[in-house]
Amino acid sequence: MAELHKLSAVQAARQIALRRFSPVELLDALLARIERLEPNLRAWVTIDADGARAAARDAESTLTTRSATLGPLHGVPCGLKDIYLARGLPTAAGYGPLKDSIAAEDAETVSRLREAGAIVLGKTVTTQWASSDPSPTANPWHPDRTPGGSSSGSGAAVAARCVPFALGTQTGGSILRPAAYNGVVGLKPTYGRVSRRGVYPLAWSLDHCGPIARTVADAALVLGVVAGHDPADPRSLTAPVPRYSASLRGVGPPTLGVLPQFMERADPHVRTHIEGVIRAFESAGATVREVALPSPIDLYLAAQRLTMQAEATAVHAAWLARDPDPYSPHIRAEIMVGQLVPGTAYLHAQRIRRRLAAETAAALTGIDAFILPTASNVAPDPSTTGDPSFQAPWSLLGLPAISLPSGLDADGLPYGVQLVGALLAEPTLLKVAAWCERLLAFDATPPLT
Amino acid sequence: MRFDPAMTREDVLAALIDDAVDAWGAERAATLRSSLEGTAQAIWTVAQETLEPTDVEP
Repeated sequence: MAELHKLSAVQAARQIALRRFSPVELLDALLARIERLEPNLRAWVTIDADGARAAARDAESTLTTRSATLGPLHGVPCGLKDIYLARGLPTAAGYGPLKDSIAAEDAETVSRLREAGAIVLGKTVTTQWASSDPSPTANPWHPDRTPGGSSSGSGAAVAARCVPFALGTQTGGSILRPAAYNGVVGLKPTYGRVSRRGVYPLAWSLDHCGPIARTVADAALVLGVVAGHDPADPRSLTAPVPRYSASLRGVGPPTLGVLPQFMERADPHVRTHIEGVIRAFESAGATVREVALPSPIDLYLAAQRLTMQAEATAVHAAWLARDPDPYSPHIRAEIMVGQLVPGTAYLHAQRIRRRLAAETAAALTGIDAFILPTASNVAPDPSTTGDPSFQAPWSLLGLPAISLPSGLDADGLPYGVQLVGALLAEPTLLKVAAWCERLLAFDATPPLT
Repeated sequence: MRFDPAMTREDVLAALIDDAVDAWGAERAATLRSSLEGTAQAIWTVAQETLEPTDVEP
């Protein structure tokens, strides 16, 4: 049982259901790995070994009842970015004064995970308030590179095989970029598909919750568990939740739209790599066509920035005025400057946002997904969380997007390929992602000893 | 500052810097330079997009 930490969530859940090993054995394997790697990885804020062990014993005990109905994640441990509330555990959001703040209840997503049988192993490192000040977490592929942010710990912990999956959040690019920089799968669902209740906000109209995992099947499984209407989240969608895992079956070659505006902005070696990936997809039967977005990327990024800054300022200005010292430099500056931006500029950005949404939806007509690099670069040095410009446009529009690991560069750092679909088209997006994943056959693991 | 599409990028930045000095003092405003520049660029970029009164609502 020495290799249990390598199992995906789907594999672990299936084997637990078959009584091949117990949830306690799986948990112990992961705790041992965390104990060994964590001093250098720094991916976790809180490890709830006692709580997780108690939950694993309960899950084990359920298995002794032959007729027991098991949830789809029965006995599978997970990590939670430390802005998700989890009953009985502290949630600090990277903000010192909250480090002892114990949650009285679960976020809606956490509640759904537990209902499905998942075991909360602990809380993963976030940049402060899920913004852009770098976190202490190391990239498991290279200790001198950023794991990305803001879901730094979730990306690194999943890549390091410390946990099969973790929840992250994305306001600019904070699920997809850490996924790409860490060589794992990140899924940002349609805005409103997953409840934000019980998750610290950064910018209400941009915040998305979603999984970071190691396979598309795991991302689909977790999305199926956490998605669904929540009347306590005012932006929660009421659309029924499809069976995402079932949508992965019988996958044929997709029709993909390449966005030249992004390809031109990518680092040359990233562009070359993604062009090679696209050629391989074409050779395997994909239909690929160029799609020109009518508006420049800089307009998407400007609207996203003004939206995020104004909403984050509204969230934080009072706390910052009361006690500025615990705020990290980048978010503090953004909140201070955000107070100077005219309301007219914010509203103008919202009108442009609506126009961009219509233009982009039209550009998606007749194709299954856009394809582009997840990031303009591979993981840079840890003075930054990386470049959000290839992910932020889809956060602005609420479109579902997924990042798949697609190879390694000459320094052994992961590349990521990104697929973006239409609103609520997760079944199609996941189907396309599963097809791409099979062709990419990425099986490298970080060089951790 | 005013939201005025006729302002140049430099005008927008200068107006934001003036407001930052008024609000936070010269010393603290100097620490905000990177955010001020990014914000000025964003305001100027969206301001170049003309929207008529009957165009899309927020």
